[in-house]
Amino acid sequence: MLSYAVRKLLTLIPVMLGVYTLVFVVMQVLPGDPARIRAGPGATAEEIENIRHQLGLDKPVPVQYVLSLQKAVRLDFGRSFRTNLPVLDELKSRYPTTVQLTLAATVIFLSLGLPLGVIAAVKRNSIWDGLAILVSLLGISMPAFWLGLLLIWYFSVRLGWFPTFGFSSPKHVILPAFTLASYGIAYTARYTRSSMLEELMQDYVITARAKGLRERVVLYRHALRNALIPVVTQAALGFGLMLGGAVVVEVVFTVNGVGKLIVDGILYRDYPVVQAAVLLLALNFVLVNLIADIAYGFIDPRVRLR
Amino acid sequence: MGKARREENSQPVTRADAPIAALRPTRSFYSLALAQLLKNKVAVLGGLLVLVEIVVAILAPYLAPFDPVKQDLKSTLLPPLTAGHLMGTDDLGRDMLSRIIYGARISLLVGVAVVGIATVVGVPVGAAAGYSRKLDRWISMGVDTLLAFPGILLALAIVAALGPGLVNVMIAVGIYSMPMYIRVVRAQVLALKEREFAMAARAIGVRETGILFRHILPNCIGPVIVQATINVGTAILSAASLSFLGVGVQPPTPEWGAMLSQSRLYVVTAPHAVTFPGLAIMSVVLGFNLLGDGLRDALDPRFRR
Repeated sequence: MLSYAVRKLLTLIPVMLGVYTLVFVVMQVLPGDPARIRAGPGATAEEIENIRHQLGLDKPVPVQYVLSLQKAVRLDFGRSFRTNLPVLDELKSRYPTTVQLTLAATVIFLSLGLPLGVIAAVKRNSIWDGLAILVSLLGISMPAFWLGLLLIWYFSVRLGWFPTFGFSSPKHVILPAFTLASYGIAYTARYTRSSMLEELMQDYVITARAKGLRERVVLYRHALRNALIPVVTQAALGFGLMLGGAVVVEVVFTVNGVGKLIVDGILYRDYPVVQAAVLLLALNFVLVNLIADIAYGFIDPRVRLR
Repeated sequence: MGKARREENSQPVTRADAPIAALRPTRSFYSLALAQLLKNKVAVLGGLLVLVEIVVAILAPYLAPFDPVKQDLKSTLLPPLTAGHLMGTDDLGRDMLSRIIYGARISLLVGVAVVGIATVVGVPVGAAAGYSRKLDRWISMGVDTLLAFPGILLALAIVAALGPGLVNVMIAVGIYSMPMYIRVVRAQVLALKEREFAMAARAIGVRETGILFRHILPNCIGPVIVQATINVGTAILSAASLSFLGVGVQPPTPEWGAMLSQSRLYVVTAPHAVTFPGLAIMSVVLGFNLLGDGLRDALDPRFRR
C-alpha cells in the first residue's frame, strides 16, 4: 500500500515540472514588459534598466527559467507588482478563503447530490428520478456565474436573507458555496445514479434478495457500498474542479480568494502573483487527485494490482 | 423470478434484440444510428435547441428588430415589453433581444472553432499516442500537464498571455479542450489495433499507416462525434466564463458572457438584463449536451434497441 502511494506521489514530479514550464512559457508570451510595469508609469529608461537587472530579466531565457525554478522550489515568488508585498504572503492570506469556500461547496454537493442519485436509482422512473435527471441536466448546462447572479438577486436583494458580497461570516458563505456546488450536485447525482443502477444489476444483488434479505439491507448494505467506490474518486475530482470554479464564483460574490487574485492579477498585469497563484491551484488539484487515487486503491484492492 | 427482476432493473439494453438489427443488412451503421437518435425524444429536443440556435445565428440580421450595438442613452435599462423592446434594454439603451440574437452568432462561432482546433490537433496526436509506445510516454505526460489545471484555469492563463479578443478565446478554449480528444482517440486506437480486423489486415500485408488510416481511424469517428457535440456546449460555457471575467470577448461585441458581466452591476434595478443572456447560454449548452448524450447512445451498439 505504501509503495503504491509513493509510486503515485513520484508521478507528480514530472507533471508539476510540466505545469511549471507551461506557466513559465505563458508568462514569457505575456504582452507588456514586466520591468516597465513594475517600474510604473513615468519611470526613466535607467530605472527600468535597473529593475530589469534586479528581476534578472536581462539574463537569457533558459537561465531565467532555471533561476526562477530554483526560487519557486524555495517558495520565493518575488513581490507583487501591485502591492509590492511578497507574493507568498498574498497567497497565504487568500488561500484559506478559497479552501473554505471549496470545502463548503463539497459538503453541499455531496449531501445533496449523493442522496438524489441513490433515490433516483432505487426508485427508477419515479418523480425522484425525473428530478435527479432534471437537476443534473440543468446543473451541467447552467453557467455558475449566472446562477450566482440570480441567487444574489433573489435571496440577497429581494428577500434580504443573505449579504450580497464578502466572506466574513457563515451567512456570507452559503450563496457562493451553493453556486460553486451546483455543477458538483449535478455531476454527483448523475454519477451516483448510474453507478447504483449498475450495481443493482449485479448477480450478488439477486443472491441477496434470493436468500431473503430485507430490501433495505440489499440496497444500502450491499449495493450502495459497492456503488460508492467510484463515487469517492468522483467526489475528490469534484473538489479539485471546484478550485477552478472558485475563480468565477469569487468574482461574482467579491470573495477575496486565490481565484479573484488571479483574475485581478491578469487585469492589472501583476504577473508574479498570477504565476504563483496558478501554480498553487494546480498543485492543489493534482494533490487532491492523487489522494483520491490512493484512497481508491485503499477501498478497492483490485485497483492496486494494476 | 430472478430473470424478470433482472430485466426490470437492466438498462434499456438488449443484447437479445441484436440479431433483429442484424437481419437488416441493407441499412448502414450510421442510418441505424440516426433512426435510433430520432426515437430518443430527449435527444430530439436537444437537436431542436441546437437547430434554433443555428437558424437564429444565420438569420440574425433579419430577425433582430434593432441594431445590436446602437446605443440609446435616453432609454437605458427599460424593462421587457416596453417601447418595442421585447426583452428590454441594457445599461446603454441597446436592445436586449437583438443583442441576444447576434450573440448566437458569436457563441456558435466559438463553439465550432474550438471543436475545430481541438479535433485537428487532438485526433492525430491521440492516434499517435495510441499507436506508438515511444510517443505515448511524452504525449501522456503532456496531457497530464494540461489536465493538472483545475477547471478553466488553463484557458484563463492562456488567454491572459494572448490578450483578450474573440480569436484568442477560441485558441485558449481550444487548447483547454484538446486533452479530451487525445484521450478518447488514444483509448480507441489502443483497443482497436489488437482487434481481429487489424490483425487480418496486417496478415495480408497492409502497411501500418494503411491500417491506421483505413481501418482504425474510421472506427474512432463515433466517439469523436459524441465528444465534439458535447464539447461545443462546454466550449460555449467556458468562453462565456472568460468573457464574464473580463479577459475574453470585449464590449461592444454582443457576447452573452460579456453582456452578463456588464449587467451584473444592475442586478438590483434591472434583473431582466441578467436573466436573458444566462437563459440563452443555458438553453444552447443544454441543447448540445442532450444531443451529445443521445448520439452516444445511438452510436454505441450496446445501447441499441
